Amino acid sequence: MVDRAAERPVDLAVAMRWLGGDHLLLCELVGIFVDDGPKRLQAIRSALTASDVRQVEHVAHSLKGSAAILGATRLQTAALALEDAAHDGHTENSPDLVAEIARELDRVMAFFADPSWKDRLDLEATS
Amino acid sequence: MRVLIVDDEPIVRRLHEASLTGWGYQVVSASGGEQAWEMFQSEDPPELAILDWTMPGMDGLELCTRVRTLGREPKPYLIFVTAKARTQDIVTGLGAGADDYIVKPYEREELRARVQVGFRMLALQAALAERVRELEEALTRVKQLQGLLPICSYCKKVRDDRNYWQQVETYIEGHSDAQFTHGICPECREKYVEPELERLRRIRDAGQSGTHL
Repeated sequence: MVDRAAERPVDLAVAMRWLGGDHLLLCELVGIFVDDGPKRLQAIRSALTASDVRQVEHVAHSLKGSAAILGATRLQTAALALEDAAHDGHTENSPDLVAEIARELDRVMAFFADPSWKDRLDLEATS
Repeated sequence: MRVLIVDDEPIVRRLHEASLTGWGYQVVSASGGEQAWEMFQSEDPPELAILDWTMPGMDGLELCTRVRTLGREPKPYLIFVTAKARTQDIVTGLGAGADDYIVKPYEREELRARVQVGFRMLALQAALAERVRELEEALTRVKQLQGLLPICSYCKKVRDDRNYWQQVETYIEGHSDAQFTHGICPECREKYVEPELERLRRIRDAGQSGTHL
């Protein structure tokens, strides 16, 4: 049997652990993320265009923190890869890393765009 | 009990705000080091602050260093909450003046416990500062009784700093928190009181028998 939860871009059990099972707070944070996430991606692209490696590192770090709290572990991993690369000054792979972040961000946004994610809260939080 | 949250990431900031408000703390937030620095310099700075390290502009480390150089009393209690988990990071953060250091990811209850420790430390510092103040006041009073004090060899009055002669007890009461209550020591009782009582008894007895002393 395929574990469908493992395929999802968001592990709600992780989010619920961070938030102490507070559903309302999670809904509020998701609202902030949906508004803020695309801006972060744009900020990363702008910083790369400006060759501002330090800014790339900062924004990737910030996106990583948000993704971690919401249980978006793949997005978190992608942001961490860019943060580390920027920290070490290795920008040659940055376009690929940013593309990976954009893909994962799209998946997370699509996940939260479907209202049924709330129906899975109790089920996955106890799994 | 007021807590300042300093984090550029709105989701992390909101998570901290919700947690701390739920635990009964008054919460203020800053989205960057510069804004937080202004709050620390204000007339009413926060007592305890939770600092992110990695922020654009003034980062948490620089903020921490600046706050410590302010030298204000009471010193705010500073807790780093950061993903920087290397031992050298922790050493650097604490070396810059942070009182505590929490590595992400962390459990919410851990943050709660460490904030409680912070306020316990602040209460202890406040109690110690009050004790020091009391002792300094007491020391000032003791100093008032120091120095060369002229005393009359016969009546034992002392001359005060305005050149007035006063009873010793009046002088001490005016220069300290001491107050006198009068009594009779055993030697004086034997030397003065007993002879006087004996004299009065004789008068009484003589009166009863009709003889004159």
